[in-house]
Amino acid sequence: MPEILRDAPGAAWEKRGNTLWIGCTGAGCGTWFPVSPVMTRPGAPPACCPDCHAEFKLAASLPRQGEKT
Amino acid sequence: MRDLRSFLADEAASLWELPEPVALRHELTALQHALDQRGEFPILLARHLKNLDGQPSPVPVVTNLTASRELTARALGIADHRDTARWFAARTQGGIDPLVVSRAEAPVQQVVLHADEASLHRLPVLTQHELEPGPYLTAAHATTYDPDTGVDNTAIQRCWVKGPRQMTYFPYPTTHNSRNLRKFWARGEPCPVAFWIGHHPAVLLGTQAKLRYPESHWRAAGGVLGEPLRVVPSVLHGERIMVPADAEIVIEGFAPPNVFSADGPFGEYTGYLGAQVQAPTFEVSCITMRHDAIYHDYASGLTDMLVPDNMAMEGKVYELVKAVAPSLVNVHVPTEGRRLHAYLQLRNPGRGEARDALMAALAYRRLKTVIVVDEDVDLFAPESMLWALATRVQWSRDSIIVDGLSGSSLDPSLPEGAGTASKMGIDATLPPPPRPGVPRAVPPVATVPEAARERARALLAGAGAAATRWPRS
Repeated sequence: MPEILRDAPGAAWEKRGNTLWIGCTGAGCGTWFPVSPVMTRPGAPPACCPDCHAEFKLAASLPRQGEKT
Repeated sequence: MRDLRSFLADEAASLWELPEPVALRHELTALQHALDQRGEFPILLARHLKNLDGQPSPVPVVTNLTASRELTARALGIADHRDTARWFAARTQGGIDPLVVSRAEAPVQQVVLHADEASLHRLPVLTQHELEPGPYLTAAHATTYDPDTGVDNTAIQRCWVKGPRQMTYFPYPTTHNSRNLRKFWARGEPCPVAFWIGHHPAVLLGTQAKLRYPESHWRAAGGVLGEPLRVVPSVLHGERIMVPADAEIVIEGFAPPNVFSADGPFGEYTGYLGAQVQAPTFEVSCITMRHDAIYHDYASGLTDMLVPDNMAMEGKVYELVKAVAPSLVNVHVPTEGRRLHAYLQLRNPGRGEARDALMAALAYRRLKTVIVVDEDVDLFAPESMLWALATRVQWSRDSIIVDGLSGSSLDPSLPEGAGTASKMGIDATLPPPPRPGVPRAVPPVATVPEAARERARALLAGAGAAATRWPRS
């Protein structure tokens, strides 16, 4: 069972090992895909769902690169 | 003059033209996965495809061009693929200046498309693996130049086709193309780029030579080709960016300063999906191509893509290690290790030389595990390498671990946020002689006499068709 570390507004996310996974917020989509921590940096472009191509900013409370969780 | 077509003609016996159309999404890549698992490496040609607009495309796809190491070595003119390391190191260190031809003499500029006509959707671009966001150019050689010196640089970049005239491309931050990009952006200027697709494997490998910065890939390609590479000024960038005159397709445009968008996930050489990252955006201004262009695709993460780059790596590692370990005779970067393993072969190394060789190889960014062996071990046979590890290594004595070296950011074993890698060198060579002039102590290997081997060969030759039904494991 993937470990969900905390809730956050915006895209759902999970840490699976050392990989950050994001759940698409597009209507009716819900695709999960791996995202580099660089996408959580301030100024990073929105994430893009590989399935429906919805773009969305990642939650500010996502663990940043190098941050322990 | 050699190009993709001359290679396909030379290797017609190894080419399989698919008997029916395949979908651009996943199907051709699935076939390559199956062939890799079977250990069979035909060149694949697919016709009667649809382009990205869903319209019938006159452009066929060729892929699996370089899945066979033997075929690729033959394309280079190497009689035995095992000699690649020495051969490649010698050919790329010299180099041959390119030959500039006119646009009238450049097949790649037979068709020139501007503005709305310059649409990536004309091309039959594949979506290879699940969870990839869309079609990716995988054999696009991005040529840029150093704005300070004008020296060209070429490297393969993955490119997500996001729209008819827009794509992302992903030069890793440590690469020379990324360095050129940052230089232009530091000046507030868009970075000019030309992506060329499709050529003879000798040119493809020559432009994958691992060079210093800045250093021209056109000279290296000529060295590998054995003759000057024919180049032509690109239509948009002119003489600032030359492109191979005998390529199939060229896509020209600019990367505007500091414009990033999401790129990936993408199945990478590691065999894993690289996570979605931010990548520069590229805007297409012009596409040129041959009248009857062929679109080349590399199967990412499969032997098709691993073989050529690994062969180029062997040349570079040979050059690096030979400088400190004169007893080096050969290098192999096996596809089983992706690009993260290397095997070194030494002939009667002196004291400490095996470890010198390991340290030199481990300094090469991508390599994470390097094993050094003697001449009686076959670098190209996994069972022989594993035999050496099993019988010639005491880990406490013969392994070295070095932390904090540069590594591949795509290695999924890296801890989150790690900027460097932990690497291992393994000395699987036999101990040196106790004193000069005394032979090395070689454990007695169990062998049979040559006369008995001759008899065995004769018996096997007579087994005929029955041998095809024998179990293979």
